[in-house]
Amino acid sequence: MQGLALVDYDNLCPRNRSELEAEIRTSALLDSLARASQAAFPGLRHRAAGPVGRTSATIWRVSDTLTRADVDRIARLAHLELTEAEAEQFTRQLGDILAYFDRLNRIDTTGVAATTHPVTSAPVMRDDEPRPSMRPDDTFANAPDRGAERLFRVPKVIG
Amino acid sequence: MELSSLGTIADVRAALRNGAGAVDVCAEFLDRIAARDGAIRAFTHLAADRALERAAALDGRGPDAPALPLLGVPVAIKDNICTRGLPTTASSRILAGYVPPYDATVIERLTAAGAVVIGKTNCDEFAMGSTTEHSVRGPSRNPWNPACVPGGSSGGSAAAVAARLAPAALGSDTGGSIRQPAAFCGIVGMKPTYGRVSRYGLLAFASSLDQIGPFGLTVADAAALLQAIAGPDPRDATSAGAAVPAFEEAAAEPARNPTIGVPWSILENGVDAGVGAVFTAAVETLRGLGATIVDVPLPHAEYAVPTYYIVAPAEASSNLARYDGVRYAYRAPLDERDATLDRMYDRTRRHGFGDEVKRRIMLGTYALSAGYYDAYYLKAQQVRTLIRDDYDAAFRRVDAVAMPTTPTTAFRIGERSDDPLQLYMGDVFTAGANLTGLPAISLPCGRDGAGLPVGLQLIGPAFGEETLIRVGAAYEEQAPWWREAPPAAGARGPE
Repeated sequence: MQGLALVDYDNLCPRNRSELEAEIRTSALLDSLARASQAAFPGLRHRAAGPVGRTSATIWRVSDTLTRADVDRIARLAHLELTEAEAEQFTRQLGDILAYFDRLNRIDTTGVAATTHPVTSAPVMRDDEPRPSMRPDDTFANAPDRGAERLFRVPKVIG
Repeated sequence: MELSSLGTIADVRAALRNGAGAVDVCAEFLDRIAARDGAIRAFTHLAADRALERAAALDGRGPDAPALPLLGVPVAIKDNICTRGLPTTASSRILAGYVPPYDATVIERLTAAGAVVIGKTNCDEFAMGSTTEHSVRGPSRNPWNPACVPGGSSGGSAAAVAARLAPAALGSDTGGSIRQPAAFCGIVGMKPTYGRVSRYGLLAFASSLDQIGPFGLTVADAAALLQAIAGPDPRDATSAGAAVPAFEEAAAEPARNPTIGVPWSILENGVDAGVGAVFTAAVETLRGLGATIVDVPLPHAEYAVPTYYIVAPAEASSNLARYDGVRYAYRAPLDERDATLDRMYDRTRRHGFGDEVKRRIMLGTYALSAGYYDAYYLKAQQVRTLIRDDYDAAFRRVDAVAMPTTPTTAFRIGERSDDPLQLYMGDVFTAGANLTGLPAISLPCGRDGAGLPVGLQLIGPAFGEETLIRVGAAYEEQAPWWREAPPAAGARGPE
C-alpha cells in the first residue's frame, strides 16, 4: 500500500504536470478516484478527463500496490530494458521497499523546510577566462564507437 | 625495523628514516598482495610497475628535496575514484575498460604528498551496497573470516588495509560505505564533513551525500591521509573554503575530558547483543578516560534509512543517466537492422548495470516521477531537515555523539543477497551522517562472540573532524584494538 499521495498541482513543474494530466486522462481509476476523494474531502476539486485548463486543483491518487505496469513505466523513464524475471522481481522488491518508506508519513512535516544539500553556500563564481580544456583525443579515447573520425557515433536517430 | 613487520604509515616513515627506500617499501606490499590477495580479492587492478617506478623516482630525489608527509606510502584506491591511465570501473560492467584521462583531486594531492598509488580496490557497483557482493568482479573477503563479507561499498579498500596489504587506502562514503567496512574489518575509517574533501574525479552516486575519506590502521594514519586530501578545490563548487586544521597534530593530542552523547533509546531495538555489549564496554572505556557521557535523544534517527533510500537513489537515477553507451567504455551489441538510439541506450544499461544499481535507478526514478515527487522526495528532504535539527540540538550539549557503526558484525557472503531491504536496514547508524553532512569516524572497539570486529562510531559537528580525531586517539590509546591483526594478515607476530 503506497497510501495516498497528495499532489500539489500548482507546485509541479510543467513537465510533471503534463505527464500527470496525460496519466489522469487515461486512468481507469479516474471515476472511483473522483468519487472517493470527493466523498472524503467534499471541498476538493479534482481533475477530470479531457483537456485540462489552468485551474488550481489538488489531486489524490489511490493505488493499492506497486504494479507491474508501474515497473514497466519506470523502466521506460529510466531507459532500462528489463527481462521478464527482473520486472517481476522488481515489482515485488520495490513494492516492499516503498511500503517500508510509508513510515515517513508518521512524521508531521508541515512547514518544515526541505534540505536539498547539507551545506548552504553562496554561488561559487570565477572569472570567465579562457583556459585549456581536455584534449580531443582524451575526450574520445573511451568512446565505444568513435568511427574513423573523432566523434561519438550512435545508431540512426531519425527514421 | 624488518620490512615484513610494516603496518602503519608511522612504520613506513620509520623504515624510510632508517635507510629503507620507497622502492623497498613498495615491493614489500606488492609481495604481500601477490602472496595473499588471492584469498582476499581486495584489489581489482594492480599498478605494480607504475608504483615501483614512482617509488624509484621518489628515492632518486636529491638530499635537498622538500620533506613530503606521505613519502613512499603505498595507498590503495577505491575503484570509483579516477586515476589517470589506470582503469576506473566502479566495479561495473558499464565501465569495463574505462581509463580516465585525468586524476581525481584527491589523487593529485596524495601524489603531491609523496604517496604511491599501488592499485584499485573492489567495491559494490557504483558504491551501491554494503558487502562488495554487487561487484562485477565478485565479492572481496573479510580478512577476519573469508566466508564473511568485508562490508561495503568500499570493502576492497578496508580489506586491503586490515590484511596489511596496504598501509592506507581511500574510499567513498555515501551512506556508510567507508565506516561500515572499516567496522567489519576492524580498522579506522572516516567520512569527513561534506565539502571537506573535493569530489572532483569521484564517480558520482548521490552528489549531496558523497564524500571521499581515508582508511588506516590507526586514528593518526587516517588523520595523515585526511590532511593530505582535505581543502577547497576550484573544480568542486561544493568543496568548503573552511581552513584545514592540523589533523595529524590533533591525533597526537588525545582529548582528555570530552562530553560524549549516546542516543541510548535508538539502540534498544535491532542491535545484535554482541555488538551492544562491546559498544557499552567502549562507552565505559571512554568514561574511564574522563569523558562525560550524556544521553542524547535523536528522535528522527530511526528514519535515516527510509530517508536515505529515497534521497540517494533519486540523485543516483540522475547521475547514472550519463552511462548511455555513447561516451564511456561499454555499449551493448545491437543487430544493425533494428538498431535505434533508444534501443541502444536501453540495452546498454540492461547489460551494463547489475541488479542493485538497476533497483536503485528504478527506485529513484519512481520517487522523482510525476505524482510521487512530493510524497517521497520532498517528504524525505523535509525529514532530512529534522534529522539535522536533532544533531544540531545534540551538539549544543556534547562534543561528539557515539553509537555502534553497525547493528551487526560481518555476515556471511550470500546470506542477505536476496533481501535488499534487510541490507538497507544495516545502514541505520551510518546514513545519518551523510544526510546531515556531518563528519564521522569508525574505530575498532572489540570483537563479538564469533571473533568479528565491532566498530565504535563517533559523529561530530560540521567541520569537527579534529574533535573526532582527538577523542578517537584517546580511545585508541587506551584500547589499541588495531594491534590485533586478522588471520589473513599472515602469521607475523605482534605488531
